[in-house]
Amino acid sequence: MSIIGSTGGDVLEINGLSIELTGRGKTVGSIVHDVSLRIGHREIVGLIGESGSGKTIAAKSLIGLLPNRIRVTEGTAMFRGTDLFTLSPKAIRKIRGKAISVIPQDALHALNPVHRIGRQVGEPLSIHTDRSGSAIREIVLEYLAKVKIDNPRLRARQYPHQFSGGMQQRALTAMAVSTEPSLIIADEPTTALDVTIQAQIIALLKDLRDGTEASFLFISHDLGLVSTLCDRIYVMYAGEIVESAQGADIFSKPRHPYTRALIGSVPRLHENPDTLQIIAGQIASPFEHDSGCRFRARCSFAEDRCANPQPMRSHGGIHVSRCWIED
Amino acid sequence: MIRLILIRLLTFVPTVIVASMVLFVAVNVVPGSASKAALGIYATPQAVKRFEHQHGLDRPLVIQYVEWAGKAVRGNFGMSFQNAVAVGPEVKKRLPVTLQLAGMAFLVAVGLAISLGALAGFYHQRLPDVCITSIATLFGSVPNFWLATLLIYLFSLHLGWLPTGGYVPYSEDLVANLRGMILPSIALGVVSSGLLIRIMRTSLIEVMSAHFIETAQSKGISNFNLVIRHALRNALIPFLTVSAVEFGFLVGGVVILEDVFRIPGIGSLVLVGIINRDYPVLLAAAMVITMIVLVTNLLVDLLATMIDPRQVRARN
Repeated sequence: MSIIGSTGGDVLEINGLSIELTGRGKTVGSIVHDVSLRIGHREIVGLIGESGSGKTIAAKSLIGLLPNRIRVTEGTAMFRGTDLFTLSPKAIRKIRGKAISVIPQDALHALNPVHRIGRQVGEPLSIHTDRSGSAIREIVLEYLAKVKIDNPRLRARQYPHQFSGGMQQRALTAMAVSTEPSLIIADEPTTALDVTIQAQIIALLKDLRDGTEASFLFISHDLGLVSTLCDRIYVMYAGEIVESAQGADIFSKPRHPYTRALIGSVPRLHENPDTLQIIAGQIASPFEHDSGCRFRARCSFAEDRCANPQPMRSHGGIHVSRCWIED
Repeated sequence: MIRLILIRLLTFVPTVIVASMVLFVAVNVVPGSASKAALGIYATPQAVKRFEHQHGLDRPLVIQYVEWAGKAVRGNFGMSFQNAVAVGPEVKKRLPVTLQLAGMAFLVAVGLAISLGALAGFYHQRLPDVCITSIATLFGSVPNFWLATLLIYLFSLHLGWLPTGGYVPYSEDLVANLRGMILPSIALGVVSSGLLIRIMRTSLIEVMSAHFIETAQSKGISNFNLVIRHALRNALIPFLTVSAVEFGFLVGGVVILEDVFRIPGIGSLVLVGIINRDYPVLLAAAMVITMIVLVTNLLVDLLATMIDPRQVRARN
């Protein structure tokens, strides 16, 4: 499954990315800190963490869509030889939707209610290419069929409210792949959908991966989902990568206490549901971080030395974690 | 869509009936009597009685209403108390004048609101927004007759670009007609735009925070097309509904401005009707204005429905 290191060069290489919230010119909070991440050619890389861990912000920074007052303060993101963070707004707009596309979260609200599906799916092509309207329409129909939407000719003329949630996510997926991008950011693409539809969308993404040249950055809080799909997984906590490993290793050999707690909090079929593990406390606020381990307030193994900066420690191969505990 | 229009038209009829009843009662309970206004305050009781009997004013209000409504449906609004002229033809003659003024003023108001409101909404909490919001407050708080006087002073007396008032039918001279209509429609439209600019701004701000805007941005769309193609049409749906309500207020302003600019429309007829307690004139003019407002509301509602594909389907 994994092709790490097999093909020449990474599609995306993020190094030391820090994103901060600024107010009146000063930094008031750290949202993402020192994140490094690689995505190889045709690889699916998972980025997981709970809500508020900074995973979506990190992804948005790549395509220049950070909200007001939130800025990249350090780091590089090399994408096909250029650093995305040095590009002008106009230059990044040319990449956005073409070379890097997004499958958005919350499919039920991600399509414009007043425009027909076909027009919305074809919009990246009409923005980024000189193709004629009828040529785009043909491509749209082809991709709608590819994401297994029945009767695409009829469906393309319909409006989002005539689509089910799963169908809307399929249309959004068709939109993301239609420009044949090098990188697709799938931002929690299954959150708004029910479980059976989630499985269908995941199967669809697997199919698409096999049929395209694209790499995927798959953002999710669902560890189970990510582990079946991804070649490599990064676990993020409070803006930092705390562990990364090959897909299966995260589940079978978790190293960081946070990853263990995350796996422990997944309910299991044959266990008493009353003993469901939860991670006590809340994710730390971006305004309260110091240089020590950001998880230590909630960690059951915490000691005094956790207040020191924690470097990444290797556990063989590409498996690393940001904790002394396995030394 | 056709069914939708039919349903709307069906609810339209009772609305008109109720509106006409309210209007009829209101006109009759206004202090001061038609007879005193027509005959003067020194009229003898016998003369007053004769006048009231002659015009049927001594009968119960319900009977008066039924008779009036029965004739009005057929376009007969009776005779003026003052000069025994048939009211119907007079109203008919003046209707296009008022329609033109109200229409042009509404275009000014909506045009200003959509452009300035969208601009302010897009630059939310930045300089253009602050400027436009202040301007909108100013627009909304200025009385229309005061603005009209100011415009006349500046553009007619000082610069001499436009006439101070009067009316030329468009069938006679279109250019002269439009020149005469520019100042009154600006005075009316600008004042109405105050509220509408704010509504458009708020509406656009709300749409811009919608999730589908982010989807559109992630396609690499330019800011201009983002607003024009994705935000504006969604923002127009609530905006149109409010603008229909605002149109009612705008038409109210017509009454005053027709007098200021000496425009022979329905509005000046209302004024004459009130001053003379000339019930047939007042009723006819007010009823026509009510109809203009109701029809506009209907049209705007249908337009809003056409813009929003969800409503077209849901109601069909």
